[in-house]
Amino acid sequence: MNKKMICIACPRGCAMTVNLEGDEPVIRGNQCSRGLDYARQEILQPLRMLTTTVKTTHPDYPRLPVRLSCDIPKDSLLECMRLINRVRVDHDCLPGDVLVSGVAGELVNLIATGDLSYDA
Amino acid sequence: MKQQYDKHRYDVVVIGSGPAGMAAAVSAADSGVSVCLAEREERMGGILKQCIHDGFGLIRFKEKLTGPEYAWRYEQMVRKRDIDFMGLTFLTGIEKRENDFKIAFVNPERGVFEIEAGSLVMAMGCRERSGRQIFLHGERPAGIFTAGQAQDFINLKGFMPGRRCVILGSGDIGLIMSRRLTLEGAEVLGVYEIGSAPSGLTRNIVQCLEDYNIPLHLETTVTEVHGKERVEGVTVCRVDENKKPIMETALFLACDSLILSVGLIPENDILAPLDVDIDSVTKGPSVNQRQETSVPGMFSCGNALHVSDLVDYVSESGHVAGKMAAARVLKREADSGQMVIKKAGILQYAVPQNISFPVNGQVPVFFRPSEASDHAEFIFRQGERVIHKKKLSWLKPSEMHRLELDLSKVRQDGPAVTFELKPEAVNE
Repeated sequence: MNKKMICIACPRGCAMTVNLEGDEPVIRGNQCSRGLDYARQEILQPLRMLTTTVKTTHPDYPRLPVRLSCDIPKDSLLECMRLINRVRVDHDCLPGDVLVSGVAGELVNLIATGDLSYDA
Repeated sequence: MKQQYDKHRYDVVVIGSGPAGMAAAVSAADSGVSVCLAEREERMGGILKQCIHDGFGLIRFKEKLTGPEYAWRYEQMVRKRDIDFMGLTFLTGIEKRENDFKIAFVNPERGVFEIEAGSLVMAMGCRERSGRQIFLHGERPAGIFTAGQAQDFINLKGFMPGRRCVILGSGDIGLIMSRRLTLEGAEVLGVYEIGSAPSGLTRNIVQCLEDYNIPLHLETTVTEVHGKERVEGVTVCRVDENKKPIMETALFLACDSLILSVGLIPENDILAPLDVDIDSVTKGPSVNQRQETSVPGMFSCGNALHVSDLVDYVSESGHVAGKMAAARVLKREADSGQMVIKKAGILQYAVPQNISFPVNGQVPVFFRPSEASDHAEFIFRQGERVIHKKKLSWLKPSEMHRLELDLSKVRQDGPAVTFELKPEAVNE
């Protein structure tokens, strides 16, 4: 059985075919090794990055952009959004700062991607 | 906010502090000239500030960054250098003088004021096509947004533009916003694209639409918007091969908002009084390999030059423009001649459009095909003499290509130079 997929690892978007007949999947069409990793993971369990925003108490910047520290299973994205939407930031932060440890399972942290400063 | 400056003359003035302008200011400063970076918003970063999704910087930083992270890295580079950043500063006019420019600005601290510049780097980015530009006429109910407007509302201001949305056009921002609206709890009924192929990147079709079961309807468009105070629905219609709506296929969709993702146009209105040569395809200035426009000393870069798919290319073009703008000030030497590069085959456009002599070294050349082709060859030749050839696969008008070419192999006294993109039949 051949499964077609488009690699989403980079904007090139290689069109790949994955043959699942043998013990190991045979992947064709990828132009780099990231495509192999993506295809193997996609068969096992599709993972996605989640980026969104959280509320702040800042008068001029009401939202702070955030991401997760790693990709999470695709089917848990909406549940993760529900958890992140409870977060409110009321302090200075820089891109890379951990806002919440274990926001979606113990190993996944919520990371600021923007900066916020309460100094006038 | 950082203090405003009161200098009246700079070697290089950069207009716009998005990913192109920041890179231009950095490379100009690194060449040892005085640099002013003018920005109409309060902060640097341009559109990246609202592009909270990831995928930026894979080429430039070898990392997958979000828009705000990419902007932050460049902002730190600007701040580490002796660059005067003027925020909340709006450009109102440019006067070209014999050896320099006089630029008129307005900002809250200095009011209306003028600055002189040896060279100018235009990095104003692009604008979204609006409903009026795609002939979406009739009532003007609330609820019609461009995708970038919707992105600004959700990601920066924290407002939801609607709860039941129809997306018209399949540009990347529209695809990104389909996912974003869904994650924020809105229902996206579908993406409607008049063309026979999506205009956004394939990866965005996968990760923004397919992941969330959002349907993509090709060869279908919106023919009518219903509602007086607020959008109450739209009529969608299939189109024939001439893009004419097939009325029997008309379908009413109840929705409260219509999000437009129907193309981007480089923003160059301010250049009109200067008679800068504009490429009718890219809608940006025609430039030489130094990204200098037809007005000597004025350089163009980023999405103001031509709309790119990748921010990495935007910054690269800013880097070139900033460096060359500084070189222009340091060594004022007239070009010994110019040659227009001809286009052939399925080449939609290529940047640079011209070669100025003398030429040295490799330069990045960016181009798009005019039609999709599985295989094609890019041929760079002068007359019949082929200087460089490169085979390419899976070309689409929606995906830009970059090649490094050695333009110094062009003879100034030789025949015309051509960039040709030749489709190839390949036996599989």
